Amino acid sequence: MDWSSLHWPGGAPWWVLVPAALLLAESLRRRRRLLLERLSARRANVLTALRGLLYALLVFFLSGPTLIQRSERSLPPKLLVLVDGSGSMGVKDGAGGGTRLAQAVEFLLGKAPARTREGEGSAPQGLLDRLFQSYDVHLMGFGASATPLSREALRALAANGLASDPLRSIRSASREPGSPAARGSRGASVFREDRPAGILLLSDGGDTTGSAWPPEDAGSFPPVVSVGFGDPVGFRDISLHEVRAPRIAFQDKEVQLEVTLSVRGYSGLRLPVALTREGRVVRTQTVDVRGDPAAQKIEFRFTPNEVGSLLLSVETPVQRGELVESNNRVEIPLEVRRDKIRILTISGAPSWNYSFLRAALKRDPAIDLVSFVFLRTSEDDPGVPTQELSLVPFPVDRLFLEELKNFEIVVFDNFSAQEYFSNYYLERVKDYVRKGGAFWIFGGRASFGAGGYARSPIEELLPVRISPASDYVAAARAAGQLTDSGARHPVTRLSPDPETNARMWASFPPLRRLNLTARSEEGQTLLAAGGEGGGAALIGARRLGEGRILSVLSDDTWRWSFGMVAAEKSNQLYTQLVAQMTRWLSGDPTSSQVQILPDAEPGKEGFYVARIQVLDDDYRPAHGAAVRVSLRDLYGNVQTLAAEFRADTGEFEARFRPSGRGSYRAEVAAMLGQRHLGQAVRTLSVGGGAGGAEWTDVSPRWDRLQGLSAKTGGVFLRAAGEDPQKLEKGVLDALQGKVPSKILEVRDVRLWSIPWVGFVLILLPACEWTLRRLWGLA
Amino acid sequence: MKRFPEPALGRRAFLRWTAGLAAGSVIGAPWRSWAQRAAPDEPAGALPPELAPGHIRYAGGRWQEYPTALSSMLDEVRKRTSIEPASEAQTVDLSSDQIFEHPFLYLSGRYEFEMPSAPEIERLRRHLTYGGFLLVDDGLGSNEDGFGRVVRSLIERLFPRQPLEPLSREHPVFRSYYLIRSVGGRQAVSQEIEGVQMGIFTPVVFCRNDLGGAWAVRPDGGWVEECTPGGEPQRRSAFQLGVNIALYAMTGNYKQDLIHHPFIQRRLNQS
Repeated sequence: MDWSSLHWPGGAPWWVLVPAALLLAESLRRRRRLLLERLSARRANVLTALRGLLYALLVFFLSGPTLIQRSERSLPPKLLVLVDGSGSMGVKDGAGGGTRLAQAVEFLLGKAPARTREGEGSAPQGLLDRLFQSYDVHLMGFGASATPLSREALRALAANGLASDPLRSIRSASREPGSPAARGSRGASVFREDRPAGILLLSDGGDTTGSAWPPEDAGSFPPVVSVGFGDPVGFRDISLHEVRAPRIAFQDKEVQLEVTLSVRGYSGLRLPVALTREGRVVRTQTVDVRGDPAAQKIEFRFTPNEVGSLLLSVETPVQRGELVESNNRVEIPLEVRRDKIRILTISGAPSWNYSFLRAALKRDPAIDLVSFVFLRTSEDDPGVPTQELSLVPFPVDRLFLEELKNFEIVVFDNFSAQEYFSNYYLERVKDYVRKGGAFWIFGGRASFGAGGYARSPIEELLPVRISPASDYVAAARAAGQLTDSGARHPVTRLSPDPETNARMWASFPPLRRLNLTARSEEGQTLLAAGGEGGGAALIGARRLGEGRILSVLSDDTWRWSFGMVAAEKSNQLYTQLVAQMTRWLSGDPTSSQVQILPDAEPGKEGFYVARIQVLDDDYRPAHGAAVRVSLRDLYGNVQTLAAEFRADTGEFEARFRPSGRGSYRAEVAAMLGQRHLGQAVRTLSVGGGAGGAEWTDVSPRWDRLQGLSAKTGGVFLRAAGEDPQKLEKGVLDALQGKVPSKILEVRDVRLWSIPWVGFVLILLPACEWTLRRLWGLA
Repeated sequence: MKRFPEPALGRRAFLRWTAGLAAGSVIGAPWRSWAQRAAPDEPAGALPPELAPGHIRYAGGRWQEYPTALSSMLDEVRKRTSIEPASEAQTVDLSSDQIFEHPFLYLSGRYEFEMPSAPEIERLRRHLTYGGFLLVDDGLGSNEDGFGRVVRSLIERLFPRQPLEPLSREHPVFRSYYLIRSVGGRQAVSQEIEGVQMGIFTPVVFCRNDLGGAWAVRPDGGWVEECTPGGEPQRRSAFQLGVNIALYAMTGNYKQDLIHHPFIQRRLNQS
């Protein structure tokens, strides 16, 4: 027994040991005093010494002394077999025109057994069987990460990994610390090192992480015996990759797109490269390929002229003998947004409502604001000739007959149109909204009923009914109170959490001026109620055709900003509310009632599922909606899908069977009765989309495998053109030489679990008892 | 004293004056004091006025040199523009959150006063940072002494990184309503107006020509002070500047929008 390996991994804590020791020492002292009264000093000392020794041993064992026992045992060493299942292993330059992966699987498992009558013949033995005879084999497949495989799973393994990271898989296996493999009886623990003794790596050397090969920490890896698949000599491929393009583009603003063209196995080619937009060629250019291999940057410029989701692609024709076709095309999804949100505000008079609204709108650099404020009425006398005033004549014809369509939002802020122009111009505003414009109206002494809008074309737009009489009143405490619709609506939902949202609205300071109106009929949503008891409408929203209308029935909303500042908060909630109002009015896709959720998810039996959110005007799930989904595949084929509502998720689902990996363009339109709820367009990615990192460079990279094996003390073997039996022997020989066949077993042994220790603990009191009897003590 | 005819003879002023006389004959008090009792804090159920300046009261010095100055200016605003102002300003203290009821603040005086406390300065800073406006009216006009010295020190503490600087003649204060060429006031100390610029807005405007002195009226309708050396044209400029400043505070720099700018420039060139 090696006493130098004694250690204390755990026992009774010191605050138990020290008092126990003191208590026993005191007991011993008293005991000796009693013994001295009845025995000679020598005998008393002998008995005290025996008891003291027993106490000392008890305290010692309580402290948990443990011995480490190391022993070498001849167990089968652990061998990690890693099989590359990434997409590049699907390239058909393996033996007999098969894929690299098929060759690797066959190498491990042997040829798949031919269909034979029962009992006739037997499955051939592959390398894996032989490895199982000598090693504790752990079989794993890897792409971006490693997962354990059974033999059956290996046979069915498909090269569909979207990324390759062999080093991560090796690291996670080889750096695994020792773990308790079993716990022995009577406190003895058995530790076995779980780190593999060796690694057999079957790969083409593909790595999509951009890591350096061999890595700096390769010295800490177990020996890696690598087998390289693919054929570097005969490899021929043209690939488009490394896209540099913005994810978001702006309407009518040119964007620059850059892709890299890599060519292997060809030289002296003149390659046409095209930029296409949903199948239609937009630009072309011809590239001269010099050298082999060659890489060249290609640049396109493109100006999107429509807002929405756009799928561009760069493609080049497949050449004769090319091994991978799918990487001749790379897709570039673009989200095209408006360059600016142009807002026209017309204010009946200078006001704090306008001042604070303008400041909030001006915070957003994407907003282009054009304002007209009526600084005087016909009754006001400026006292100087017009030439000494800065007043601009109101360009009513130009604004309402020509320019209206150029604004995303038109704002009437405490503005009474009847003082300045006829209903003819208001009819133009109504048309503008029906065709998709947005109308935002604030209250005031010259708005709603007080502004003479009752029975005007404007009233037909509004989400409220107004009275012909003046409706502008003072309110003692008109606090915003959310309605049920308001709690969900993107205009008034200031926080995704309903409780926080309600709390935020409760913190808005009360307003002191309101226009009292009645709530109107169906299709119009009341978002917040003001006035004492929350009886008056404060914010109302409505969709009319493609247009959106928002009514704010007060010109006192500046108090929401300034009141919050007074309470030593910022005016963040006010600016957020204004921003959300602007976004909803401008038809921002994030506030759309119809949304296609990103990326189709794989379902059962090879189907994929596209999920669609369809909401009613009050932003409840519109379960009764008719949802039309059309899907255009990689080749331009369009199919119409049925969408079903799922009550558990509140979403619609449309199932489709993809014709291949890549991007699909989905278009959805939803109707509820006669009401158009909205539409959405989105590019859905199936299996990661074309031009993914895995397909950037699928050439066999044996140099990486060679470097790794050399640095870890392993061996590299090439599979291409090699006789399988010879290769198998090479692998077995390499493993034989590199992977040790013995493992170290480490045991922790608690001292009290050793039998003779127990014997001593019994012996001491027995001796003491015997001596006491001999010396006449009871 | 030569009268600037507009303040006393406008339609609304005339009606108020007539009503004031009638009321005065009944209760035996001057019309102005009637108006002061009737208008100030809006009675329950009355609509709060759009423009109700807060006149800052401070310790030391004299915070209200001309009690009628602001009401006279508000009369002018009512008469000349579409704004519905209060009939007079409300007195506010920087120690109270009441200043947030009044986005437009007015600070005036001639003499040195006690520097507001740190919490008061912080409150004023928040007011001005989040959309409020302060018109500083120096009745003495000296940078080194009196009111002007303390105000400059106050503004330094308010905005250490945004100095008080002369506003260019392109600034909306000079063209938000009237196309102003000279800076009026009771005195003509400077033809410059200074301001603190924060982003696209100027929340502090500082005039050294004693605007309040030019605006103030006596109970009999006459002017409290003569305007020297320019006389009534100088007073007219003071009123025009007051109107412009009120409009600027409530509309910001919208006159600099692309659609307005060329028109204004053309008109300036013509005249």
